[in-house]
Formats: sequence, C-alpha cells, structure tokens
Amino acid sequence: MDLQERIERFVADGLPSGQAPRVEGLRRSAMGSAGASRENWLFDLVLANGTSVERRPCILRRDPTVSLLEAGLTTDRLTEYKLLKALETYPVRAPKAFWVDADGSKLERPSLIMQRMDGHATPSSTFPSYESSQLRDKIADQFVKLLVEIHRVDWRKAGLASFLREPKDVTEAALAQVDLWERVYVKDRSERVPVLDEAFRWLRERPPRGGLVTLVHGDYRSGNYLYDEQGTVHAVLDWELAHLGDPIEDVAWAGLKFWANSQGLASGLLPAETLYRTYQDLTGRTVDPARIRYYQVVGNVKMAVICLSGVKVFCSGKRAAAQLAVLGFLIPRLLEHLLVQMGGGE
Amino acid sequence: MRPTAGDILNGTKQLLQEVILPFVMAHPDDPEQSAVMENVVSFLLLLEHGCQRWDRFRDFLEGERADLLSLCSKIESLGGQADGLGTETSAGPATWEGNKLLKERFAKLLTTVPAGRSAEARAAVRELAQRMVRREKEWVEVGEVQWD
Repeated sequence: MDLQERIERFVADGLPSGQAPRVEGLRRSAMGSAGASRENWLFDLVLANGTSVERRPCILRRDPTVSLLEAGLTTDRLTEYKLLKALETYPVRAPKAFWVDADGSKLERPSLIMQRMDGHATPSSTFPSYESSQLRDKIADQFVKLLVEIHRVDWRKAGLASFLREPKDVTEAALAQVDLWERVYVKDRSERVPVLDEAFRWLRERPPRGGLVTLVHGDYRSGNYLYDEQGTVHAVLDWELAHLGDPIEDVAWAGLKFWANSQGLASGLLPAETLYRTYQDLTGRTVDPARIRYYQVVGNVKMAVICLSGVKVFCSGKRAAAQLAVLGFLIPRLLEHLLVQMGGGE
Repeated sequence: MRPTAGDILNGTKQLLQEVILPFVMAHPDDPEQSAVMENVVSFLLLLEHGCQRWDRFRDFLEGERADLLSLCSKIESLGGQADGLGTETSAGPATWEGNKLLKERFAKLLTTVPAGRSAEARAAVRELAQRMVRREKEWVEVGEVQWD
C-alpha cells in the first residue's frame, strides 16, 4: 500500500462512515536548512459529504526512518498534536492539528496530519537580506508580538501540564533543559567535544533564578513561521520542542548570533538589542543580559547537539541524507560562539 | 597512484552534477523530487569539501593530537589521573579513533583533578578549546553552509 492510500484509509477511519476522503497532489517537501527532523508531505484532502465537497490543505509530519535526535528524548507526535489542539483558541497562529497516528501503526511511522497554512517559510534559518526593509520591519514587528502571545498562553487553563512536564520554577526548568540536551549529547555523539563538556559544567554552575514559568516554543526563529509578500505572518510552526520553562529562553534563542543574517540582524529581522527591548516593553518582563547570555549558551549547546546528532545518523549509515552530514560544518561556528559567551573566546 | 581518493570524489561529484541532478530535475511530478534534489545538492557540497580536503586530513589529525597530548600532560601535572586510558595513541600516525580516545582520556583527567586546581585545569581546557575550534573552523571553510 502506498502512502497516499494509507493516508486515505487512516483519515476515513476517523470520519463518519460513508465518507471516502481523497488525497490529491501528495508531494514531499525538502527538509530545509535546519528542519531535518521530520518528513513533511504536502497534500490536499478532498472530503465529500453528500453534495458538498471540502478541500482541505494538509501537511503530514512523519518521523523519519531514523530520527535526527537518535536518543528520541525530545519529541513525539502525540505531544505535538495535543499541544496544537490546546493552542487552537489562543492567538499564537499555530496550525490546527487534525489527526495523529501516535504509534505509527497506520502510516508506517508516528505521524501528525495538520492544517497547511498560507504563506511561505524563509528559505533558510534567517530572514533573507534580499527582502525589502519594509517587509522585514513588518515581519519583525509580528515576530516579537507573536512571541509575547506564546508566552501569554495560560498554560494551566489550557491544560498543558497534563502532557508537558511542569517544572517547580524557572531554575528547575533551565536545569531540565541542560539535562535533556546533555542526555542527547551523550547518546548521539560520535566523540567527545571538550567545549560542550565545559559548557554543560558552566550551565550547571549558574542556573537562572526567579521569574514566571510560561509556555516556551523551543525553536522560535526565522524559518519557523509562514509569511506572505504583504508582510503578514500566517503561522508559527515547529512546536515539537515546546515545553514549560523560562520565556527568556525563547528570546535568547531568537537572538542567537547563529541565526543572524549577514548584516547581523537577529533572525535576520532586527537588531538583537531591539528584540530584547521591544519584548521587555511589551511584557514588562526584565530581559536581563546575564540571563540572555545563559540561554544563549543553552541555545548554542542545543544546536551543536542537534548537529552532532544529525552527523551521527549520517555517518552510522542509518540515513543517507547528506543534509544531516552538512550540519557538521556548522558545529565549529557554534562552538566558537559558545567560547565567547562563556568568557573563554576571542 | 591514480585514481586517488580525490579523483574518485571528483568523479562522483561530476556524476551527480551531470547525470543524476538533471535526471531528478526532469521529473517534477515525482512526489519525492524536491527532497531528492535537496539531498543531491547537499552531497555535492560534501563532495566538494572532500575533494579539497582529503589529502590534508592527516595534518588535521596530527595538529589535534598534539594539542590533546599537551593538554593531557598539563592536566596530569595538576593531579589528574586516567589510569593509562588513551596513552597508546601517542605513538604512530594520528588517527580519528586515536584522537577520540585522547578526548576520553582528557575528560577523565579533568574529573580527577583535585578541587583546588580545578580552575587552573579549566582555564587550560578553554585555551585548548580555542585552538581546536579555530582549526575546525578553518577545516570546514570549504563549502561552509551560510544561512543568508
């Protein structure tokens, strides 16, 4: 049975009897520069009900044969599905989740079918320099405001703690992230990386204290939203690393030098200082430079570990996806940033 | 003797560029086309890197090994102990596996340094790390991925 037929059967199982959904235009999208963790299949779902016909643009996010994060410690489709469902009533522009095959019994591997929204992602992980400054400014404005909306989600009321780990406080949340990425590092590395060993020690010595726990997107940057040429952001994507924690983690991640464009704009959109100041003005939450620094060390560690994991998957021969091997070329730059942030670089 | 590894990589690159990629591009209706094309382009990047670097890999490993050995000696002088782990790698030509062992040795040494000398040991690590990162950065400069 091919994938198209599998999707049709899977969707039909979840519909009232007599409906025969049809999948049209099924095609696999490219991974993109850093979105190598899932297979994304685009299609239109045609649902006929009596005389009416509904055409629903969909995307199937399916686990690859071997996950980028081999340790499998970070994400699962059921959690992502529950999160997207819970966020439907919040103005965070998350896509609607339609169906989940949590154990992969119907679609070969764990999969999530969700709404395909208008707009397009940036072609890489930063907002491109060739776009006009007017467009960039419009996107930048929404970029910060949407982040604020994510952090305003009433996660208790939304029931997020029933499937996301609820930390006691910000300190515990920060250390949980450090633990998580160290576990992935130990499991997925091909060899020790002395700078990362040192970075994990550095992070454990000075976790942040105080502040509110919020929903954290976990990968908030250019490349993970859809926008159009009029400057509207239609969707915020890739919620698979979302967790409850310190909102400054997202702010610091968006401001990572790693995502900056050739002009040094954070996420290719705005100066990092403007990002921090605007976020602070909109939330009344202090953006402390020391905390930004802490979470940028977390961010660079996390990204380096993701790259190491990709390289290992490729080098072990488990997935012949050269995009994963190319991630290895990014690691020295991340380590260089880490050294500077920890105070040992040039 | 020819063909060298570089010749083989170069030939593979040419095959991808001149045969495989045009073939993939000629099938826009295939549902996997864009994913396959992206993979081929990434392979081209890797092959270009391989072509330019393959005969310098030994230099890279030798430089890394020299740094690791010097750091291990430094940490040992501060009281670190590793029960001989990785010492066999200091003789003969440098290899990736050998350097990997030395990194394990270095980590073990670091955890056994007496508390009073830990700050000194970590300063040495940072110094080494800077050299290693500089070397690695230079190594990937061919075909380095740029976001923008």
